[in-house]
Amino acid sequence: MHNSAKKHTLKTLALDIFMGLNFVFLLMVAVWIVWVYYFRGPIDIVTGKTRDSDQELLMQARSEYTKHFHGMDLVVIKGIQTGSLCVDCHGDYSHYKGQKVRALFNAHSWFIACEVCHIKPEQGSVVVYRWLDNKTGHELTTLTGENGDYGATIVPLKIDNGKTSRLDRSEDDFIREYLQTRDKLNDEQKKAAEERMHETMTKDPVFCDQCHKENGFFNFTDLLYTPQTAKYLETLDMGAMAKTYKEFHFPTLFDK
Amino acid sequence: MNSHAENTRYFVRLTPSQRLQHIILVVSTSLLIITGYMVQAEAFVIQSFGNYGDTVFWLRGWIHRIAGATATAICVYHIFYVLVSKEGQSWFIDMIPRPRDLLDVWQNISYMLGFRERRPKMDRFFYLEKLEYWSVWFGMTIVIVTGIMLWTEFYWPEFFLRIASAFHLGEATLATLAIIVGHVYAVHYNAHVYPMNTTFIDGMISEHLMKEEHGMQYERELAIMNGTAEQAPTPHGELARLIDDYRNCITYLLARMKGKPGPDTEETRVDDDA
Repeated sequence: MHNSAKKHTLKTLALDIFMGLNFVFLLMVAVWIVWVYYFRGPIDIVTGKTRDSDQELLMQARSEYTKHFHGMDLVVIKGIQTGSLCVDCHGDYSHYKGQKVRALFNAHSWFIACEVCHIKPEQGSVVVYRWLDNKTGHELTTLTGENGDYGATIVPLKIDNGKTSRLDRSEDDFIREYLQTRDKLNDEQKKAAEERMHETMTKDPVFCDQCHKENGFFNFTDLLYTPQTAKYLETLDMGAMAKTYKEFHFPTLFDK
Repeated sequence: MNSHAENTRYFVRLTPSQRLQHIILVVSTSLLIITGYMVQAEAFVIQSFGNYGDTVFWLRGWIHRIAGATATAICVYHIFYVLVSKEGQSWFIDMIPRPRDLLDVWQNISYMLGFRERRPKMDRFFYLEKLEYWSVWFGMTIVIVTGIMLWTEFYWPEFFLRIASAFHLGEATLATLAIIVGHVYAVHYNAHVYPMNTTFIDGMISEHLMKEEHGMQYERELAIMNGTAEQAPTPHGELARLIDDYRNCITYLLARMKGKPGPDTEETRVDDDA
């Protein structure tokens, strides 16, 4: 009788501890859920203050965007002095077709010469891709900076009998001449000139998934990326994302 | 708390079909809550998955969808169940709110505040159970509709998706808190059933608990068992009783407006208990 009563007490004590722990756990979950729902996010709806980690970022963003209603004081200067002449007519943000991907393409224009994607593949000559400094035009040996902002542009280089030439500058003389004289040309002459300067351009440019895959268009390690970043760029499934989803956002969750 | 004594009688509270529906809903809802709130998880939790993060979150999405589809299926099944089957109809009729519930709310709160001697005698489902049941209908409608919208995001403008997303998270939060604070308390931590109400497993309710929480139904069942029922009433699911309840309420209110005492006053009801 005494033993069984003791046993019973121990058993109930164990049960009470177990249920108590469950209770504490559930309470913590409930508190966390309330916190997530009501206090999470950039703005704390109760105090009207932001979380510390976001505070600085938000203040920065606010000070930028409150300068002018349309943020007109924000001017993006690429600082490129050795770039191709395409942008003289097509503009810095030349991709306007394809709502889904144009922002991605225009973002790539920041560090990739137009000709990389838009030039026709040439037979019998070797084309390599190199980072060329935006100001000096010299080839980079290391990448300094972050996320494509290296002060340089990826440019296609043709190697012909040991001689290297920039494919993004091959039509420069003709284009300059055209830009100076086009006001004096008639429509037919203009059309002919435009055809002439675009004849090396392909109608089927390189798409996301041709570069962002293993053994793709680029060898990312040749482009001075670390093996880790190269692997990351290869496995970015951008093409599938652009084809599958109507709307997408840049992920930051698992970025390296 | 002597519910397992040998001489205790048991009443059937949940049929096998109801228990199965319940357990499917429990499992699918638990999975939905876990996989749903993973999206809201803290950064350090997500980082702890390391290189498996992508896989874990890919699985998360699919488990959430499968559990969501299961919950939807059981809800659709339940609609047919309450429309077609006899026990389903009985369940549904007894779940319909009636004027007496308002009285129960008033009397139960008075009892809990110490203004009354004893709890009101309640029917098969008392008002809190009805509230829980109908909040599942309400909540499930919202999460299923918004869930389908979020699953088929291709077809919706962003404006509607944002609304759907807010409703989905809001209703999920409400439901999760209702389960943790309300339901888990009622079936685990309530002193009557601690540490667990086993009704959802064996479908039975002890005579003691039946008397305590469903006094009206208990008396009716007892009358049938003893053969003392006045005109062979059914123990539950009687549409006539529901209609009667509303009719009595209206008659009572009309009589009160004319200044006469009604046929079914609070006083007559409580005196039964003495």
